[in-house]
Amino acid sequence: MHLQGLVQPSCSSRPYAFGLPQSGLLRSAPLRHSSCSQLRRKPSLFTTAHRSVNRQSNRTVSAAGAHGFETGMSPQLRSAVDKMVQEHKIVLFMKGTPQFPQCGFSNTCIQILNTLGAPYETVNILESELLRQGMKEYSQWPTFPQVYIDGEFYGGCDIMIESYTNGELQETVEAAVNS
Amino acid sequence: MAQSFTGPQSEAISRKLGDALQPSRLQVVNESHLHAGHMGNPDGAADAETHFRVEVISEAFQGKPMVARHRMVYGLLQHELNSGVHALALKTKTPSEAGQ
Repeated sequence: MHLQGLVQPSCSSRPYAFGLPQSGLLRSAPLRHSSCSQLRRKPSLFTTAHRSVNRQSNRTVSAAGAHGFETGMSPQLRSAVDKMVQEHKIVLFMKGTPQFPQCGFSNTCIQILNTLGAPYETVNILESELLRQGMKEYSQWPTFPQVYIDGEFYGGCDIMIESYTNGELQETVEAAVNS
Repeated sequence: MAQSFTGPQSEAISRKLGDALQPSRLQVVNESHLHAGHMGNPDGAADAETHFRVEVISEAFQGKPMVARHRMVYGLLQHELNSGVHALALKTKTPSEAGQ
C-alpha cells in the first residue's frame, strides 16, 4: 500500500469559523501555535511505515473490534500510528490543524494543550479517510479528537476538559514529559 | 434560537442507555442545531440528530476509569454512531461522584 502523502501538512486549510460552542473556561485561553513547525515533519512519520514491522503489541489494539469499529486498518497504517504515538509524548488526532481547527471539540483540545505548554504533535484526520476510519478502530473510539499521552490512548474532548479541570491532565503530562 | 428536536435517535439513545445502565439520572440533549453548518450537520436541518450532549449517572460506572465509561456508552450506541450521530458530549458519573 502506498502511504506516501497519506497525511500532508495542511496549514493552508480553509479557515474555520470559531463560532462553535466550547467550554467557557477555555474560551479566553491563549491560542499559541507551539506545534506549527512540527507539522512540517509529519509526512515522514507516515512514509517511514514502508519499512516498519507489523507490530500489534499496543494493548488498545488487541481488543479492537470489541465495539465493532473495525474497518480493516492496514498493517502499514497501524505500524505508522504505533510509531507516531510512541515517538511523541503527546499526539492529538484532530479535525483540521492547530491554526485552523475544523471542529469546536478539536479546537478545545488545542487550547487545553497550548495552555499546558507541553510540546505536542497533531495529525489532521480529515486529510485521509483511511486514517480517519482506521483511528476509530485503533483507539476503539468512534469520534474525534483523540489524544494519546505516552503511547496510551488518553481520551476525547470531554475527558480532556474534565482532567484539565481537576488537575489530573497536568500531572499526567508532566509525568510523560519527564519520563 | 432554534429549539432542541427530539426524534428517533434521541429516543434510541435514551432507551438503550436506560436499559443497559439503569441510570439514576439520564439526560439526552440534542444540540445539533448549535452545530448547523458544521460537518455532521452541514445543512443545519431543524430536525437534525447529529450532535448530542449526554449525562449519565449510574452505578455501572463504579470502579471504571473515564475512558472505559465512555467506551461503554459508545459501545451501546454503536448503531446510532454508525447511522448519523456524529458527536456525543459525555458526562459519566457514579451516584456518589454526583453527590447523590
